[in-house]
Formats: sequence, structure tokens, C-alpha cells
Amino acid sequence: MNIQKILLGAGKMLWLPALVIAAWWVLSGTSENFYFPPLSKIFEKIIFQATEGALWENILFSMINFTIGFVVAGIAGILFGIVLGSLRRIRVAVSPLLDFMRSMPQIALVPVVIMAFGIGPEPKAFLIGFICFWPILLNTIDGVRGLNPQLLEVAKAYRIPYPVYLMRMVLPATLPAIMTGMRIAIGLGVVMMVVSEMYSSTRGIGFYILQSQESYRITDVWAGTIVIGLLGYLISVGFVAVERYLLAWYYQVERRRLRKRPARAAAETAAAPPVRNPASEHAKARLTADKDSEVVVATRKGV
Amino acid sequence: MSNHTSDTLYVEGLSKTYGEGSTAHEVLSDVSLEVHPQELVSLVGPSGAGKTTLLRCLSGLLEPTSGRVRLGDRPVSKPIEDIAVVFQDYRGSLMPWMRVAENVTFPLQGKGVAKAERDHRAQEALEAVGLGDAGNKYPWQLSGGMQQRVAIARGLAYEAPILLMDEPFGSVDAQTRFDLEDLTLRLRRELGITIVLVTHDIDEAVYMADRVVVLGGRPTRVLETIDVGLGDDRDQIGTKENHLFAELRSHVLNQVRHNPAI
Amino acid sequence: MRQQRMTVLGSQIGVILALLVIWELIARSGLAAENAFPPFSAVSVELVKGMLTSSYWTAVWQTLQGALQGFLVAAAVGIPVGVVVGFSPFLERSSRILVDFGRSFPAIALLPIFVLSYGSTITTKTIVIAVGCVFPIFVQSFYGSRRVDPAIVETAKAFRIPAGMQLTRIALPSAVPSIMTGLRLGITMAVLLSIGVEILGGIPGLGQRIAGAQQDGASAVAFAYILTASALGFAVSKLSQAVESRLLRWRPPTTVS
Ligand SMILES: Nc1ncnc2c1ncn2[C@@H]1O[C@H](COP(=O)(O)OP(=O)(O)O)[C@@H](O)[C@H]1O
Ligand SMILES: [Mg+2]
Repeated sequence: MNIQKILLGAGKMLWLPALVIAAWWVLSGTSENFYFPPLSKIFEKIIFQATEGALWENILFSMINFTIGFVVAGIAGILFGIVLGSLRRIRVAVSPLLDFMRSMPQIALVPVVIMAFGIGPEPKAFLIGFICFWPILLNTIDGVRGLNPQLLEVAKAYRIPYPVYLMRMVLPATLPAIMTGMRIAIGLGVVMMVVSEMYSSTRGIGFYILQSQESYRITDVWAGTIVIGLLGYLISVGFVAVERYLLAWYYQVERRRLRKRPARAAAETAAAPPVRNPASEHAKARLTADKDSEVVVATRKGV
Repeated sequence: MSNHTSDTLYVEGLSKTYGEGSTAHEVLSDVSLEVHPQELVSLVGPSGAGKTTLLRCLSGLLEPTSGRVRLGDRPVSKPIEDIAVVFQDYRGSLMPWMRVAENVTFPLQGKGVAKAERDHRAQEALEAVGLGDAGNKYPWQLSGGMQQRVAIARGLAYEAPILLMDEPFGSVDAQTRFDLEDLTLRLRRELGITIVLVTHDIDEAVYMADRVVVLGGRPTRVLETIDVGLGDDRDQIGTKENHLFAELRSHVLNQVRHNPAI
Repeated sequence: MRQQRMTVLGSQIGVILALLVIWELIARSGLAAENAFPPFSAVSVELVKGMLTSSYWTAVWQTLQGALQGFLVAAAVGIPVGVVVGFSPFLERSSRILVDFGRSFPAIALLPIFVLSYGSTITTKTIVIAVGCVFPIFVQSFYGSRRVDPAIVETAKAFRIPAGMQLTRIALPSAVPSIMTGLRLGITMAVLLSIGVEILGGIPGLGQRIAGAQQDGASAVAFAYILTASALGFAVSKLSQAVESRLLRWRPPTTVS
């Protein structure tokens, strides 16, 4: 009975992807077009590359670069974000700079960095870290600034030591915002991973695509592209799982808030005490922080 | 939870002005009052009168513009161990990522209390507020009234002789509110703690207090301090039918009416 | 008040100046290789020289043109499809996996395929950018129309408003703020991809100039173009923010911050 339900649910989600793949498979089945080889050939190629080719080695290379860049950017982004979120003066002073840095197309740095520092893995990890850093930083800042001022009052009234306050109050409370930043960063990081390898490399999944393109092995190009798609998908699915686990409390609170009659939820928000966050008193000087956080709000509620 | 006695809490000529220059806004002007050990004092006044401001000064969270707060002969210029606070907004003051018990023990950790002792105190405090079996839940799994009880338990577990409560029952339904009021009276009797209760509800102020301090005027000052001679045993029905209660209530209401705030 | 604003401005300018000075000093000290890190002074000379030529502005326009075209295609597809899919629980569920796949797919990986079939042309650029921005726009439109206030949905049901009208009169207007966010994210993504596509595909524009200059060893010129690309990204993001807040003046203050 329960199994039936699960199968039905899975069926409702899977039929369209299955249909799309089937249609592609059939329609391309007899394709003579050089640029659009049959899907069956592409799959054969992927399997061949996975069993006899260098697919895993390339994936590993890409993933290591990605992971190093992302993790370093994450740590740096959270640390600087908490500092800048708490220290208004410094934040205001650097805000135009941050604004500029995060809206610059970081990909523009690829030729310079790779030409100067070589085609090895380090410059690639650096570039990935560089593009991941900004959304994490800005969302963390936003999260710290959006903290319920009551939290600080509690910490002061109960004389919570500052490090404990940071680790057990600020960090968890900011985590939803940090996760948003990270989710955006993952998307950008994967793009940078591909670009940095396609620009110039000797390994990596982007390199595999590039090399195939240069020798007109079009089926390999398709194979590599599909593998990158799957890789991106797995990374984000994995991240969502981690996020669900870390933010279980958050989703519960949100769900309860939304389940209530909307009018009541709104009234509750309105009943919250006036914000006395010294930061928000200077709303004008406010750093126009990453509006991307709206995306998350939408996402959280949507899911 | 042991009984603790403490000194009298004095507020002397306290004024508070927010902002400066053209945006200056004087909220409190020359407020003086005393809270004796084991007394329950209500501070009553309309919304926006500056009750929260006064309470934050009392707890050392906010520095007054002039005047001072002292406990016995010790100045209260920053939060001290002898004072625990139950905040107006329990949703914002309980941490949703910590279980109920953690929320209660958490401040004790900073105080340097050992783990076993922390857990013990938290359990005791939660039992005192009737939530002995909720320690493993998350705050959001509890109703509003229960969450407010957790906030009270946190104050109790801190074992401060003085508990400041800022409109603690403002956002729960009427029945829960009565229950929480009686719970607070009982705890206070059992533990011998001193309580300063801030409220805008005149019935609540009179029902709960040994003394009611009426705040009002523009800027806010102490309009009157009234001894409530209703004895120690209060009861939601009997006490509120008492003619003395009705008189006190009307008296306070008149005071507030004739001295509009803000 | 006024004085305070002056100090803020002063500190902001100070930070930027300090950074430029540090840049200059590091570049001159020889700590970083000349070809990697030209001094700011040299870069600004190249920047000014470039701005006096028409070829510089052509590159700016080429990048912008590709970004705008791709963005417009993406918006034309993403908004209607997103609103309709968000409106229907059935479509939402059916398309969830494809959407999740699409939004995590780095569109730029498609570049080689399109370069092979369409060459290093603006068509290739437009297609890749469109694929890359359609998902942020789609997803935001989708959430927007899905997040209609439940009380309004109930009202519509109670008054038995026909589905077509629910879509055009309720779902679409409530989705507007979210759609605006999607458009803002989309245009930023478009500029980023435009540069990326130019670098990798040798398609004319700022990206190609950066790569070309760097290959010629003229790193000061490359940096001048990087600054230009950054200024373009900055301007586009500021402009879209301004448009968004202007168009959404009617919106009551949001409850979620
Ligand atoms: N941090 C602050 N900055 C400026 N004004 C404040 C601040 N806190 C409170 N106020 C103002 O002081 C007045 C009293 O506020 P409050 O103490 O919260 O009153 P109550 O708790 O009695 O409702 C209100 O007019 C409020 O707007
Ligand atoms: Mg108040």
C-alpha cells in the first residue's frame, strides 16, 4: 500500500524526464547529422570512457579543484561575513568595493590568472574560490544583519561569553543565509570550473570536452557535456541534502509559520518588536546587500 | 533551586533620551522606584510609554542618559549575575536550533556551571513550569504558552534572585495567560524570588503585584505607586471579584487616562 | 548628519584609494610577475587610450548585445512557462527533475557544441546565454506564481473564479515581484556568460579582447578590458536594481528580510 503510494509519487515525477529521454533517444536514433549524434552512441561513449577511458580521472581532477575552491571560499566568506556583518563602520567603508567585486564578471580573470600561474590545478581552484567567495560573503553579511536583535539582548542579559555567542547563536542563526550564499556559489563555481578547464588544461572534464571539440569528436563532446550536467546535478542534490540536514529546525519553523492561516502569520511578524538593531537605524548607509537572498526565501517556501 | 535573598533594587532619577540633537526623544524622565527583596512589583503603562526601555535599564542592558540603577550598593551598569530577564518576544529569545533543555542550560554554561549541575537545574526548572518532559523537544514544537514557560524556566535556572519580565504574557490567549500568571505567582512564593513585571494590562498589574508602579505622562514618569492590599493568596475568580480589586483597577485606569503618554 | 555622511563617503573613497595604492606598490615591487600583474597606473593609461578608440566601444557593445539578446530570449521563454508551471501542481511535479537538472547545468559547457555547428558567431553567443539565463528567470517566475497567498487562493476558489482568470488575474500579478528578481539575476548571469563565451569561443567582445591581449603579453591592456567588463557588470546590476525598485514601488514592505 505504502509502496504503491511511493511508486505513484515517483511515477508522477519521473514520467516527463523519462519521456524526454525516450523522445531524444528515438528521434536521434537514426540521426545522420554530424552535430547531433544518436543518444545511444553518446551513452556508449560515456560507458566506454568510464570503463576504459580517463573519465573518472578527469572527474576527480575537476572535483578536487572545485572542492578546494569552494571550501576555502566558504570558510573565508563566513569569517569575513560575520566580521563585516557585526562591524558597521568597516562594512560601510568597504561596501562600494564589495558591490563592485561581486557584480564584476569574475570569469574575465580566467585568461590572466591561467596565463600567469599556469595550467595546473592551483590557479583553477583559486578562480573557483574567487567566484564562490562573493555570494557567500554577501549573504553571510546579510544574515548577520538580519539577526533578531533579541538574540543579542539574550546573550547580554545572560552574560554569554562572546565566542560562545558567535558559535552557538550567531552562526546557527545565520546558517540559512550562509546556505543560500553557498547554493548560489555552487552554481557559479561549476561554471568557473568548466571555463577554467576549457580555457586551458591538461586534465578535467572541461578539458575532455575541449579536446574532443578540437579533434571534431562530436560524440565525445556530447558525452562530456552530459557528464558535466550530471555532475552539476549531483553536486546540487548533495548540497540540498546537507542543507536539509543542517537546517532541519529552520524548515520546521518555516513550515509551521506557513501552515498557519496567512493572516495570523502576518500578524505575528507584525507583532515582533520594533527593530532596534543599531545597524538598521542607519538604513540609509545600508550596504545594498545581496538581494539574491530573496531567491532563497522563495526557494525555501517553494520547496 | 535554592532560595536566595538579595538587596533592594533602586532606580534613582533615571532619564532616558533616544537620539540627539533635532531627533532627540525623551522617553523616560526622572523615574525613581525601589523593589524590595521578595516583592513583586508591576510596572504598568500604555504601549510606547517606555516600559521596555526602563526594564532594559534595570537589567543593565541599556545605559540611562542620567540617573542610575543599583542593587544594594552595587551599580547595575551592565548585566549582572543577580538578574535574569524574560523577554517580551519569546519567539526571538528562544533559539530554534537548540532543544528546550539546551535553551535553558545554555546561559549556565557561560556562568561556568558543570554539565551535570546544568542538566539538573534545567530539569528542575522545567518541572517547576510544568514542562518536565519537554526537554528534548524543539521550541517550535511547543505552543506559544509553553514556549513562554521555557523562557521563564531559563530565567529560573539561572538562579538569579531577581527576575525581570517584560510583558511576558502579552502574546498568548486569555486562558493560557491566566495559567501563566498563577504559575508565576506560585513560583515566586515557592522560590522567594523578587519579580519586576512589566505589563500594559491593568488587571494583570493589579492581580499579580504587591505594588503597582503606574507609568505615564509625556515624557514618561512615575505617576503613582500603589500598595495592593490583596494579600498573598490570589485567585483568578475570587480576587477579581473582590471590590478592592475593582477599586484599584479603576484607580489605575483613571491615572492612565488622565496622563496620556507619548 | 551631513558630516556623518561625509565621513562615510571619505572612508569609502579611502578604502578604494588604499587598494589602488597597494596594487601599484605590489606591481612595482616585482613581487608579482609583470605579465600577471601590471601596475594600476599602466592599466589606467591603457584604459584611457582604449576609450578614445571606437574599437573599444565596439567591444563593449558586442558584449552587451549578446547579453541582451540572450537575456530577452530567456525572458520570453522563462516567464510564461514558469508562471504556468508554477500555477499547476501537476506540471510542477512532472518537471521538477528536469528543472533541477537544468538549473544546475553550467550552460557554458554547451559552447563547444554550438561553436561546432554555428561557428564563433553572435548566434552561438546568444543561444548559450539564453540557455544559461532561462533557468533563473524560469525558477523565479515559477516560485512567484506558486507562492500566491493561500487566503487569496481560497477566496478565488470560494467565488469559483475560472482557472484562466486565476492564472492571468491572480497568479501572474502575484508573481511579478519574484519575476523581477529573476530578471535581475538573469541579466547579471547574461553578462557573466557573455564574457565567458567570448573568452572560450573567440567570439568578438570584451572577453575576446582580454584573452587576446593576455596572449600578446599586453597584460595592461587585458586589465584595462577586465576593468571595463567589471564596470559593465556593475552598471548592469545597479541599473536592474534601480528598475526593479522603481517598478515595485507599490509593493508593501516585505515581511521576510
Ligand atoms: N533604540 C531605540 N531608539 C530610538 N527610539 C526608541 C528605541 N527604543 C525605543 N524607542 C522609543 O521609545 C519609546 C518607548 O519604547 P518602549 O520602551 O519599547 O515602550 P513600551 O515597552 O512601553 O511599549 C517608543 O516611542 C519607541 O519608539
Ligand atoms: Mg515593550
